[in-house]
Amino acid sequence: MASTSNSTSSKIITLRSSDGEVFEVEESVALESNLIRRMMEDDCANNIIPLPNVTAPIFYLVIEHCKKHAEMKDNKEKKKELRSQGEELLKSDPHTYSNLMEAVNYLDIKSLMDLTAQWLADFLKGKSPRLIRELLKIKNDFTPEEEAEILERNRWAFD
Amino acid sequence: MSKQRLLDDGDPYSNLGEDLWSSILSLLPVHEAVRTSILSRTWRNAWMQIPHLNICFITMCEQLKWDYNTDSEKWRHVVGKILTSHTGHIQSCIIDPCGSNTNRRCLDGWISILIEKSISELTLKFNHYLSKRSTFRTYRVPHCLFSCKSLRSLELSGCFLRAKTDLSFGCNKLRVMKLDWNRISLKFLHALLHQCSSLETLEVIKCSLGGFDRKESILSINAPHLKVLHITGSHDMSQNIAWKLVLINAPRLKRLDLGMLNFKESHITARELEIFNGFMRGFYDGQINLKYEALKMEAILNSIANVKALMLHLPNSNECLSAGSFQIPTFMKLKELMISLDWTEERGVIFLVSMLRRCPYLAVLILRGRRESKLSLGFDYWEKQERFNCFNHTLRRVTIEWKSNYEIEFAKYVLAKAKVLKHLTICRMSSQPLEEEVLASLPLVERASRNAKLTIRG
Repeated sequence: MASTSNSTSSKIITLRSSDGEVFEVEESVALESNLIRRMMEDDCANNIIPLPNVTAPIFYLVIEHCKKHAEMKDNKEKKKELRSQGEELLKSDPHTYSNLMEAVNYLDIKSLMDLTAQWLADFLKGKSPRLIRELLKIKNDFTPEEEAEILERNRWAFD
Repeated sequence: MSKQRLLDDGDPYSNLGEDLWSSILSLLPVHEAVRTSILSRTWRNAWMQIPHLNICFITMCEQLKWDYNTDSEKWRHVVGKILTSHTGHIQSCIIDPCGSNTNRRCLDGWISILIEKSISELTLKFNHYLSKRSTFRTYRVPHCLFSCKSLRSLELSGCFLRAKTDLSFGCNKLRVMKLDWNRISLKFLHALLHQCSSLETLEVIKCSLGGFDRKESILSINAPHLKVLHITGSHDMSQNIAWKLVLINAPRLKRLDLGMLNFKESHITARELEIFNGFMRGFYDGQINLKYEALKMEAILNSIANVKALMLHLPNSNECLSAGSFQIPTFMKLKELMISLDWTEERGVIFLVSMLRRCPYLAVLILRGRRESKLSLGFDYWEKQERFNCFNHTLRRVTIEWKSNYEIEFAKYVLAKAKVLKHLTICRMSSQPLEEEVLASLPLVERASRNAKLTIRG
């Protein structure tokens, strides 16, 4: 009896990433995602929920962030820790960070979306376009003429 | 495999999509968002979609190292350009032209553009004390703004709002309106309250209200739909308005805040009122004394007797408060009470005693002392009082901001008598040296509630 009541209190949701890995996640964590919430409301609660747009390594990251975010609600130190981890990832591996943002956006996790967007904005703040290109690995695909035209059009912002 | 694919994709941030990018860009200062147009083709137009715009003259001058005195025109030009190049939906916009010499026509133009872009939250800040020209003080908000169908929230400061005879409000989604340091005609206010049926929150802070009879000075507010009303003071260039009579008729009102408003008499009809905050300062009649007559006070308390939370700021010289002269109604639903009172006179304390008697289900009590007491109301004074009902069953949290020992005596009484108390907090507000022995005696009091926790701050 005791074990059944225990299992209902922390229900486990099973999810499958795009590369076929199966995850077991506590309901409270999974429901942070509005996408999963909607899917569960539309029934597939007892089946494995497929996440065709998220790979396993990225999904690991998302879950980790979700758990930490839940913990940090009243904890300033946890907040700082999570923030510095996010910034670290952004600096060392901007590709993975963009994948994380994409996954968070797809899974529709509002709180994490706001956080990751804010970190990225803070990261970009005060940096020159050239530096941003370098850091985020953005290829400049303008012709010199086009570039000059853009500069000319909004000269005030570049001075 | 698929990780490899992602890494090969080149520019990963282009995959995030325009919506996501424009919301990230709106977290940057506008000029930095505009600068991202040079990054690559995918970024070229991203900034033109940003949903939130914050355009402040002074901030922009600081960030771009512009000159406040000479670059005003440049700023105007840039703002016009930003607004006209924007191709998306502007959800919220803050415009703060303080310090620039932006003229009325220019502002009207920007507002029209924002209306076209289906703006839903607009803030216009004209802090007149920062602007060189007094035109801002009287910037007449164009009436077309009040026909904007997409508008949900409007915050204005330093504007002039008046009603033409044919003013009709088309902003039928407007929910929140905050007016700070504006000149408003009462006619405008009345038209707004009657016509905007979706308006739920109205804040009128330090505004100068015109268009009423100064001899009569009656403030009458009829708000059939309003849920939150907040009127704080009234600022007038020439004089403070002291209302003789404040009439409020708002059947759906949940929260009423009349802080800093001087009035002699009020009639409040708000059956659903849950929270009342009043600065019972009384009517300024030319003398220094701000008298509040007992009968008027009684009428106010009677009209709000159904509230769940009550915040009362009592007059300095508790003159109106002699308990014998008026009857406090029983507050059957009151759970939270905050009283800021003057402990220098016994009348204030007697008022507190009567309130505690009349609030049988009080759970939270906050006391703010305003002056250091010279009364000698010791523990025995409180012992002599008959037991308060709320002390037996409901009072769980008490916070006392203390300035003198007599408040500590009351705190001791609370500890000794409140049977279900969970938390007593003492915040020291006095600048005088700490009287350690008084404070030290507090934890020694035998507590009526086993779970009572004591916190001393300051």
